[in-house]
Amino acid sequence: MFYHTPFTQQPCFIQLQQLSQIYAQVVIQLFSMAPFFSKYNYELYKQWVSTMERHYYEFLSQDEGAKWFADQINATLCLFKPANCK
Amino acid sequence: MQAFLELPEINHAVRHIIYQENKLKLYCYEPTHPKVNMPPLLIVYALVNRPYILDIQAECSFLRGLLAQGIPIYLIDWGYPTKEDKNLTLQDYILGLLDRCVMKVKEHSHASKINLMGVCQGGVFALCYSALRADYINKLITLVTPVDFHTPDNILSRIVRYVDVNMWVDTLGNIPGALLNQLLLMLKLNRWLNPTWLELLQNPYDSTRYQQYHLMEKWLYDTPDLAGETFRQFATALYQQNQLIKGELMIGQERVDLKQLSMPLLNIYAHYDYLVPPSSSQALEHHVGSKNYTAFSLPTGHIGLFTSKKARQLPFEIARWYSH
Repeated sequence: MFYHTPFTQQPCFIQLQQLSQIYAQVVIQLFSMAPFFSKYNYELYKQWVSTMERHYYEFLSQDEGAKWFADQINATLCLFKPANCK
Repeated sequence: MQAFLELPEINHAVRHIIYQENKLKLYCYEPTHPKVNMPPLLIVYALVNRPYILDIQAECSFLRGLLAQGIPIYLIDWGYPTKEDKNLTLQDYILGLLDRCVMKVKEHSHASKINLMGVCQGGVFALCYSALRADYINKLITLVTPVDFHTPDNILSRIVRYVDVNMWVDTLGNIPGALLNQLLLMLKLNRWLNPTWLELLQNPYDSTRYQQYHLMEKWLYDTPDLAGETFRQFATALYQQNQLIKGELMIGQERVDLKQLSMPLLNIYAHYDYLVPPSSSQALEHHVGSKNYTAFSLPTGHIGLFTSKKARQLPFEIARWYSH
């Protein structure tokens, strides 16, 4: 969750945030790809991502999954101003 | 090495501001084609994300493609709303800012009617405006525009139905762009496990690919905050209650009736769009009054429509429809 303060709206912070997001992705990906690196099996990795994505979509396509997703965000926002929460 | 370290800049086509109000800027683009007498086209982009995706790289620019076909282009840049804009409503955007831009384009181009093109949420604005002020609009083009928000494959809409919209707005005021952005990205798992980086690593010295990737990243994370009241209305009336196709959407005191859209209409959508599924856009055909309705899809995604090689013919197709 990200909440804007005067500091977070400074261009240098925004650039830092963007860079950190990009490099965080690289690290996550390198770790997640580790088992495949040894075999250089890029295609297998892509298939795995695609399968994961399909399961994820199937989950979100159901009311139960969509409600779970929305509840996580609602609950996070509640932390900022509990008085507004139902 | 230098090419890898430099952050690429957006190199816009030649343009100048013809109108400015609060954060909004209305641009007029310099024509690049000698063809004359084409009616002006006003492009209305979404409030979410920035319109420079339409012209992000000279060699694959959707906007320059339209200019090359001889279409005079005007573009609305909504800017970055701040705290003072949190009470802006759909009425302020559609019957206020957009209406004044339409008047300015008419005046600047000496045209009695103009053509309107809406992209995504901007398409919804364009539909509402054209239905309410049909006398000013000659032809209407919608691109990846949601119309029926409750089709079964609309994951985003399904989630928003469970979101406590009032709590969001009452807590945050304006909805931070970073929050919206992360939510949209979270829908796309592929984005987090993105094999694109692998492709870059496989060609580590391809600075062009690196620049393209960085430009897209720059655009992707450049998301303005959304005016709180506008978000409340848009999420509630459209995503939760689907009022547009029910004919119940009120903009101020005026009800939006899509049957009032009698002008020629071109509806373009993307086959692999996960934010606005094709079924959501296709619904338009059954709700408009126009006898001259054309629609087609391209085999790409929501953003690919403006950046993908598979969509290179799009400006040409639009110009062909445009000139008939």
